[in-house]
Amino acid sequence: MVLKSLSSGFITTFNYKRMVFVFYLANLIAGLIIMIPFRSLVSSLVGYSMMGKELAGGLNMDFVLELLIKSSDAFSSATGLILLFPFLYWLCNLFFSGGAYGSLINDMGEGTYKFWGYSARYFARFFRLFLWSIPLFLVLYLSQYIVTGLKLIIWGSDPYQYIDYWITRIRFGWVYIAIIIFFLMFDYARIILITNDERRTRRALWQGIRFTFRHPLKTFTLSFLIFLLGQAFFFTYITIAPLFSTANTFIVLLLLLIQQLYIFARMALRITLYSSQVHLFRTIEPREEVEPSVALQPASVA
Amino acid sequence: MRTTQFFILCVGILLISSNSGIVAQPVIFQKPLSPRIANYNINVTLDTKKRMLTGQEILTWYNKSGDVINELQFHLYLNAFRNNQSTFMKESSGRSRGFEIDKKGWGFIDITSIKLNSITDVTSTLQFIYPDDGNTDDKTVARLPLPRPLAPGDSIVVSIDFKAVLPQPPFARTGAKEEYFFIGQWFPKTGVYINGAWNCHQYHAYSEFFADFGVYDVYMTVPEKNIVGATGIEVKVANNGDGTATHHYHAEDVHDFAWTTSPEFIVHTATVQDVNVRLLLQPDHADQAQRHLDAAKVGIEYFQNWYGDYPYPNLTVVDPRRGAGGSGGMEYPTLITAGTAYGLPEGVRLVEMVIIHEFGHNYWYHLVASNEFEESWLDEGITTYSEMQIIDDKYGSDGNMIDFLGIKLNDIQMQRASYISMPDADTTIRKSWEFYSGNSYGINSYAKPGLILTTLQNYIGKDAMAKIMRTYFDRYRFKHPATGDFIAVVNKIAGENPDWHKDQPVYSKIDSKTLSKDEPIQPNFNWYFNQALRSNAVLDYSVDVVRSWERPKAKGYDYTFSPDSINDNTDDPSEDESSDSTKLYMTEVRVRRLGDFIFPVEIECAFANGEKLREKWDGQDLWKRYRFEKPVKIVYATVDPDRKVPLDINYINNSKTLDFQALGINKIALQFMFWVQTLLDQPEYLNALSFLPTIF
Repeated sequence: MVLKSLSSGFITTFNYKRMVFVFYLANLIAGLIIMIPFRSLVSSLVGYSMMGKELAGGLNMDFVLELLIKSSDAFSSATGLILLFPFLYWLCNLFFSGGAYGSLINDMGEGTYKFWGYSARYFARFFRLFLWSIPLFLVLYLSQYIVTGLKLIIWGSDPYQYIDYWITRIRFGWVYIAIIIFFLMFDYARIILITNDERRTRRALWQGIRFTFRHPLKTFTLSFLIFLLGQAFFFTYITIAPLFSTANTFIVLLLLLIQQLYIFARMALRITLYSSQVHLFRTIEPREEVEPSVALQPASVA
Repeated sequence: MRTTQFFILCVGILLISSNSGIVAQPVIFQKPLSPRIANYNINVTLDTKKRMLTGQEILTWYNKSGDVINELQFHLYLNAFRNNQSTFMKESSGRSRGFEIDKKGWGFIDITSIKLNSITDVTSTLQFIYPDDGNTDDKTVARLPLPRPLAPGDSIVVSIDFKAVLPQPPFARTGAKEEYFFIGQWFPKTGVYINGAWNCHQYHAYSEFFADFGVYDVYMTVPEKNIVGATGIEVKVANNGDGTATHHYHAEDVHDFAWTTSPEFIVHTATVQDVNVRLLLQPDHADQAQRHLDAAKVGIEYFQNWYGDYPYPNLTVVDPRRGAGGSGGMEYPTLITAGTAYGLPEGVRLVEMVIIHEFGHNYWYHLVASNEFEESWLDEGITTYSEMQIIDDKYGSDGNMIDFLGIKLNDIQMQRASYISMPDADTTIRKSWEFYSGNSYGINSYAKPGLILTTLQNYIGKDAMAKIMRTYFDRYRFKHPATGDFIAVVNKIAGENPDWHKDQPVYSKIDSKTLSKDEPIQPNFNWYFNQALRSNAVLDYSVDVVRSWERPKAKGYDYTFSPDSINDNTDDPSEDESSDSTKLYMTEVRVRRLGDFIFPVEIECAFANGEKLREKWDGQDLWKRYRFEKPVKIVYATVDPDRKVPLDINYINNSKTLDFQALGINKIALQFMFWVQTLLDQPEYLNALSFLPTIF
């Protein structure tokens, strides 16, 4: 069932390329918004210097250290933005996820206006859902300290360093799994919210949690497989990237292409996750879908 | 020595010897290497549960000055941890090396009895003094008036009973953590009588130590299961039959004595050249034994080969316990402490750096015993310089400190990063407690002097610098040199090669301002050290302007007009350019000195046809202009093209290119954007930061 959902997810993603592109574009724009002032800063520092030229070959640690030290004021003053920006990006993605889930659940094809319509339609509820989910996230995130507590009970407050070393790694894995589980519940809550046109977001969240824990193996395996695929993409990228260190315009462009392909692949994986989850949910709980209260036209009509 | 005093000393030694079952003292050096002014015979018992030391000390102090001595002064360093009113605690706000004392972890030392020549009880005459800051709550220095003045050449035997409690956890280099004890600055210790006065400073937050050489015989009684490491050589271990054992260590021609004990140490040994290395490793780091020994080997071999003989037969390397990092990275005669973490990657050469650095202190602090209180650059700075050179030579210049996950960082880059973060807060020569901040003390004691000496080496060459270091070492072994002594050595060696001075401001305004009247005017590096050590001037040369333009054709009178044709109304013939096919470009390069530090620099100008020109500039004026006329445009100009001047606080402005470096800028910007995109999408990757090892 999981593999079927996964393959269905890949096929659906292929059919929703524009949706992937929207997510990718949002990520690219976010990257550009941060990159442009950074580029200006670097240009003003080393735009007309040999150090700037050396950067074409690879990272120059003298440059990195001087940049960090001499621009520490600039970085400090941007701290607020650095903290705010990921939150805004998260909200933006929450907005898009309404469009994505709406389109996928209602299976209405790739109509652009439907995507934005669903995005706008579900954003308020998704945001409330997000607020309700904060305690859930905290519980899951802080659950890593169970490991710390166990360490304290078993080895006391003064364990050997190798115990700390391995506990750190266990906690690292624990946090990753906690994050996957959180998004599982949050994703299925969103699916249920749209499927049932649920307006009580707390109830949707609860149903999402219940669904996840009723079918833990299936839901988790599906997410974990996609997580592993993402890691495979990442390790492929970081293996390939160092090969493109030659100071040459063509190589730099090639590197850019590979980087953006990687990002695009990550976005495609996200849509694959969404569509696989929708497929899995429908397979496990087939039922008459509730029509949205405001009817949206199918793509063929649009 | 007077006959009665000698007799008393013999009786005293005999008593201690008989207590410990020792009949005769061993001899390491047939002939004393040092003046042996302060000699200690200490019998100490460690109560591991109470962290308490109970000791009897016999100090034999020789007046080798030309003065009559009326008092002795003692360091009682452990009183720095007596309460939060001590000078140390006030200066450090209770934190040192990232550690704080536990709520019940205070330490102290009390002298319970002092007798002179084993007869005269002078306990009541001991007075605390506060020579540095007048803090009457500080009890780290005491003076003992002598009932009878001590004439030049005479000696005195002082018997001291003391008890002390070690701070917990190890704090500011000394203390206890569970079963691990690192015991430094633990016994009543005389100051140094030098230049007609006692030099006996209080224990400060940012300071190390200063002491006279002597012979130490120390008998340490600890639980019998404990392993002991200490300054000097182990003479005997006597099992007392009561669950304790007494370890007798003997050290000659050293100026401090530290020791450590723990039942958990794993002992490894190796022989490097003529030095026996004993490594006391924590079980946590069992798999890093070879790494520690290899680092010790690098240190010993390089220092002996480069600077001179390490005269002692052994070296003990102590790996501090987890949670006891306050005792890590510290130097004592023939004993050093390192510091590592379980799982520390091979590419992070922290262990290597610490061991090489701390062993280096056995040269620059121990053998050459400068005053760490007053001129910390002489020990920390010179050691940092040595460490940088050794690490560069041994591990290469591409990621010699960190070569991990694609990040490559050299020791010199790390030192320079430290320096440029606060380059001008203080002059380098300053009493250690008078620095602007702990950070400034660190920069001016370690990083900046390391860079000062590296810059000097790059200027005069490695061979000359090696000669300077060897000469300094030879001349000041077992002495207490000061900054002037080091500079005198540099000037002596430098004087041998006038070429080094032909471009220098030897007779310039700098020298005329800073040289004293009685100092002979000869080629020297006073101009350099005056700026580097005695001022906070920063060195910053930059290429300010680089431009090339096509040389206009000559026109006007004598070229396109003749004065004879002044009334001629014909057009200027230069308007017709088709006749001249050879283009020439004018190039202008302007270099500026942005800091007050004057230093000769090289300027490299590269042209589009591949031609490179090097110009020398004495760097004295605020700026210098270079003009060239070439058939091609300039590509770039750079100051200090070979990066010989790491003291330069800004490498970014060292060069200027004619064209915008779009490729490099765009590449770094795109790389940055990619990671922003990745982390925005996968913020959980930041969780990987938890993999950073916890060192202590």
